[in-house]
Amino acid sequence: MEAYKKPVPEPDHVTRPFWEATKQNRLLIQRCPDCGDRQFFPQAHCRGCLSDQLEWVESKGKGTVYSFTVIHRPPAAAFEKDAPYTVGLIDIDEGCRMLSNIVDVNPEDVRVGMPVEVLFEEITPEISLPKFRPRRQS
Amino acid sequence: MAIVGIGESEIGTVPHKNPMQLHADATKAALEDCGLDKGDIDGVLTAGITNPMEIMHSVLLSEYLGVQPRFTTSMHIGGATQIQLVISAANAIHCGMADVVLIAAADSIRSFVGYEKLMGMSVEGVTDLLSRIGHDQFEVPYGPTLISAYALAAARHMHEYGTTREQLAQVAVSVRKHAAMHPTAQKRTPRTIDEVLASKMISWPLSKAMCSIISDGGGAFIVTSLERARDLKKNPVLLLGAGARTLREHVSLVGDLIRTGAVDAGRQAYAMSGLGPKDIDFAEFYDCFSITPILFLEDFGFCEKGEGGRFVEGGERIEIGGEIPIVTHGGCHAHCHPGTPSGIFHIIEAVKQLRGEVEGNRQVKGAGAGLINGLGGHFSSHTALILGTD
Repeated sequence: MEAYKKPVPEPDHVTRPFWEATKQNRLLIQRCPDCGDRQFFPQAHCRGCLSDQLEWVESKGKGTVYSFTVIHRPPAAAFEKDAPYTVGLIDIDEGCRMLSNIVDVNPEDVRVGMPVEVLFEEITPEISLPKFRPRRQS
Repeated sequence: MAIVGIGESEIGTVPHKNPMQLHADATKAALEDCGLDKGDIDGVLTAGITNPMEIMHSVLLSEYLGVQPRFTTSMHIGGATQIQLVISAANAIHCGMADVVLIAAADSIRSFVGYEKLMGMSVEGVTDLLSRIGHDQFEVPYGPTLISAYALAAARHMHEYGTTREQLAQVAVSVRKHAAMHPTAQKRTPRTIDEVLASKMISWPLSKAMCSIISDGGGAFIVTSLERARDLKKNPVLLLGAGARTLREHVSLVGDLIRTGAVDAGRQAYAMSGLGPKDIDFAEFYDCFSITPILFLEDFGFCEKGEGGRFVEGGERIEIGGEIPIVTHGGCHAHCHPGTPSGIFHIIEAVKQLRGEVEGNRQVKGAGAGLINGLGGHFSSHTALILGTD
């Protein structure tokens, strides 16, 4: 198999549980026990109230496309064979937004508001990257 | 408070000058423009440059210019920086921490003169560095670009309001028309909508001609008290109002991409100046991509939300002689875009318009008040400035 050349996430002390979970095809977001906010991407403090007691909760991995773009000129050579590829902002049902790729669909068939669901792409033995595809059933 | 002297370096492709020379050329021109001596400068503010090796940039520039300021710093909030520097200068003067503040910004991101310090990094390497934006773990692995952040806003606006790629192209065409009337703009050949639409697709819906150009060059201007300004060579241009709002850095956290922080920045600037959109004679919108002037026409109240695309159609309302001429010098699309410093040209153009010293038919007739705005990052930081005549 050809080596994966695109940037690979490097888990840190805060994000390690997230990346451990994606290896098991689970998508985690953070929930604040103090103010109830949910947040993605993860960080040590709650962006709502600065609590540092954030908990991980599992997302069902379903959402809708807030917007998308089809990238013809990638940021680096490693993405060139993928171009044109779709980058979207996904509003997941639990109330957070994620930037991701929208895959398993022709870029010209992607629509704002399209229902999507998560899938996990194993890019290295350590990292599975969550991406989104059109939802198969509602 | 007033802006008294303005100056620009050579702009476009300037392979024989490094950023420090560009800063100094612009500063010298700004001093000559108002008749102040460099010894009068006691405040120096800069936007720094892209080269991450250049730390304490405003101190380095002060040394290069042979001035010893009381008040100095560099600031980095992307395309919103220049107006934030004006706000900082006004505050420092108001508090007695400076009397004459130089604001200068320049870079060499076309020729990369002076970038040899980034050892082992080719020009392509630097370009890669510049285009690698976003969160290391949660954005970068998906291959977004700076341009894609603006494409996401454009696609959302198209979805919600029926804005078209032809309307986006019209912004590029109108702004280019203004650049064609500017004697030193980098891109001066007029363009048609079809040409803009047919240019290379970068990040749908944005094609190359809907994006900023890449330039060398810089500008400088001097801010001082109105009292001091009235003794100088040219009529002072007054700071009438300003506002700013920063939302979030990462595009995935900004929230609403098509009702921007410019709404709040504009509200503050209008309140401070006592003016409203109807009093503004021209608007130097930060035009890093063709979607932004459409958003800003709406967010600063020149038309209803969602009407921006139809407002620009045909170009008459946004060109010189129209209802609200925008980006009258050609902006980031066509005049000069050396990265973060490019917003300085929007301010310099506004000063020229208000002095009535613009070349030929680019002059907005009876220009008494102008709006300038800044936008940094990915709809992250927003600034607004209203300038007027004495």
